[in-house]
Amino acid sequence: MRTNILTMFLLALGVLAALPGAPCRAAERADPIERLVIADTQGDWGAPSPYLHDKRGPGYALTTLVFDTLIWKNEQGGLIPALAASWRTEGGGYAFELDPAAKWHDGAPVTPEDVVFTFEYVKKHPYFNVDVSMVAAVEKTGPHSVTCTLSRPFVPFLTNVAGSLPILPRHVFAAVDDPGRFTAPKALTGSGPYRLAAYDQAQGQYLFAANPDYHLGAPLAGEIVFMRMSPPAALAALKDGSVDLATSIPAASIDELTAAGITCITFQTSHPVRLKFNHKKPILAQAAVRQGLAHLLDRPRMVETVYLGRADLWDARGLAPLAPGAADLYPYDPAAAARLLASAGWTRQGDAPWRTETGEAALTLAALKQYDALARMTAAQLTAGGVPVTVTLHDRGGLNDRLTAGDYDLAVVSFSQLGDPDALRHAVLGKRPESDDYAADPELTALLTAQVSETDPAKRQAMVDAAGERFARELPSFCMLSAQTAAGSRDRIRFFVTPGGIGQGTPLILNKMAFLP
Amino acid sequence: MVLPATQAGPPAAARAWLLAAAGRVAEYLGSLAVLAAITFFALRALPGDPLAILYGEASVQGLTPENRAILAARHGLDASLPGQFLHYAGMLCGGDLGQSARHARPVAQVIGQALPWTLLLVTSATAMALAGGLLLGIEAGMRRGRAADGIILAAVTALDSLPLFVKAILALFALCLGLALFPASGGATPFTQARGWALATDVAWHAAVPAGVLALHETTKLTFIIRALVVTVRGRPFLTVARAKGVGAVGLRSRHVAPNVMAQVTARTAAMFTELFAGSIFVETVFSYPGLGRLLYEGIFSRDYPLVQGLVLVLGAGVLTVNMAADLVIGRLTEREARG
Repeated sequence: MRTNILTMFLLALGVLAALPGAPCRAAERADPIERLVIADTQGDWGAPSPYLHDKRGPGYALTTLVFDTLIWKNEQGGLIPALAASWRTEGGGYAFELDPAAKWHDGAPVTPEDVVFTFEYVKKHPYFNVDVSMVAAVEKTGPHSVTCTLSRPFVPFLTNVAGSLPILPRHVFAAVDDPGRFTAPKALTGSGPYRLAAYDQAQGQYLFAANPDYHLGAPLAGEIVFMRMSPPAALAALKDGSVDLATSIPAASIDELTAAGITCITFQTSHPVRLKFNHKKPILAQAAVRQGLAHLLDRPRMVETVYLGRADLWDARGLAPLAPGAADLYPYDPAAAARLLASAGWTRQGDAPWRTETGEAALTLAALKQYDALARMTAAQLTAGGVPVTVTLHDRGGLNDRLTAGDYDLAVVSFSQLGDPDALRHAVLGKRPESDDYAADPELTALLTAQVSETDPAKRQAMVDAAGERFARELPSFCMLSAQTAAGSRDRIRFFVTPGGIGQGTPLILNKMAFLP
Repeated sequence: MVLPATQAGPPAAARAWLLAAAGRVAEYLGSLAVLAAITFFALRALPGDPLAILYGEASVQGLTPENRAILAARHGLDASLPGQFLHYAGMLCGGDLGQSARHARPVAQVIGQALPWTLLLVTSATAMALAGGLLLGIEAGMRRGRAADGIILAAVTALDSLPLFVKAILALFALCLGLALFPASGGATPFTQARGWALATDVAWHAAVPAGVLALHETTKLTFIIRALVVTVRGRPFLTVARAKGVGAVGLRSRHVAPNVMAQVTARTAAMFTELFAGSIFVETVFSYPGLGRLLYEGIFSRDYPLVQGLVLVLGAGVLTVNMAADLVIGRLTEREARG
């Protein structure tokens, strides 16, 4: 009951945040920037150190201000130098030439020994945001050179490992046996463009100070303050100039903010909401049944009703939003649904519910509470199509339990499909509770498994495309739509959305390159 | 339970007092132990694998069995349930609340940073609610059936019908965003260099609306209760005698009416203190105010067992302490009332 009240209250807060207020002109660009203030609704994402930060995307994004990776992504999503000035493939791995100007915040140079140490350290003490299981060895090959040898071909290595793994200072972490409990100030010794000057966990506030000696140039803003703010407070602060960036603004406020001279950056979260079918249950074991159910869903209506138009239909092939003008493989088509369900042996008398050999085709749908409206609309549309569906809502733990136990027919789930296309393999073959865990199509399994080792980009793309086609045909889960999100900026710094996300695919606007000259 | 006032000689009285005090302390510690045990097992009865919840969103691949084993060892979840409980009990005996899995810091440190903010919010709200409730309740009770009583009752009923989060949102929009009289976020100016009075003023300025909203919410309830108590007291002979002696309106209310309702009001205030802890989560969220409520809410949903265990223990200790203090005060007040 308390949770329901809290949900209502949060919804009310979101709606009220969208109410119009006094318009205000955006501030002129000030140069140099002494302090940049960024509002965030959550606030506390843990100390920005690899083993201390919150495991979710924003925790990682804040950590990347303090800790550098070997390479990074630019505004176009292309790989650019970070600690490594250059890199190349070499044998069964990659060689990196470190930037000799790179230094730790305590003045010590970043060396190949640090890189070797980091890979050994994360093997011993897993850093769960990056998987390094494919790395066989990392060796120093010169005063500024290291090579990473892989135990198996892994094409996403550059983005998913070299572009995601924060490099640790050996002289700090070598003596640390339990990095999860290493909370001394030294744990924040990185080589990134900012140092953590102050952190107030209770208030959810961070003060980052520029590292003037950063090897890629002194950052544009002398200080960055991150502070927790409710959406209405953040909007008001954005308009009166006391906040420079709000990382998340309600969709309904975009027009008002734009009129007030605030730059609203809308972008796709690439967290498609999928209708997961329990294909291990006989009633949903046939692909025709799953396809028929997909045709009963009016997704454009969901976008308009549940997301007020701020969402995109997702391609049933799994990896991207449905391109403008592209054919939707599963449009709302009750007649097609009826044909498919009938072909699977389901029967229906008039407007009565569909029946299978064992009785009425009634299904259950499990979802997280945050998908309440979408789950109920999905259930209503399926019920209207003759397949009665009852909804149960859970918190993360409760849903995980039901998914793991197979105690569901349908489930509304979501996780990132941003970044390397290998994400499709994890979605289909992965062992996360939300994953499809679908191995019934050997061809699909073979394609998904082989693409990760295919070094020819064109061939790999063809394999991924073929896997997408098979995935859409088999339909172990149906990618329905994905929400857009928006950030509001006063443009004192030009923020941008990184194609493919930062790191392995974090869909946030906080790419540290925005803070660099 | 009230510590005994005895007619026996000083040594006997002291011994009786010590025995009663020891009993009270044992009762206090026993209650905390039961609370700790219930929290420990209740948390583990919640659905979901805490490691999958804490680390599941870190990457798309999820947890391998090997990584899961490492994490289980890191968070002390690799032992059997009784083994985990014994370990937890041992830690508690050593004064260690454990390590927060989500915050990667000692639980005592995480709670220690948030506790002062909640205490500030709840104690100031309690004081304001008590003052407001006494003022309005006594006035309404003393003027029962007259216009002032009707106005107070109507206003209080209207306010009481609004849920706490609605009051908080209205106050945010009116006082913080509309009139811009108070800050809309946080417990203090971020990274302020202010010290002494300047810091106290800054903190009070930030707490004014959140604490005021909490106070308002409880003032309405106290007003109803105090009014009802005053209505029963106002017809008693001692008030007639006081009036006959020429005691003025203020003296009548402060010296004769208020002391005679304070025992019940104190009992209600102790209960209100715990309600304020529960209500603080809404206020903390609306005003992005630091505190324990939000920490507890997030801890439960992220299955951060050590943090929730520590929070429940600290909140439990707070509630027990307040109740014990209230018992003592009520005992004194009742004795005084009995003496007339």
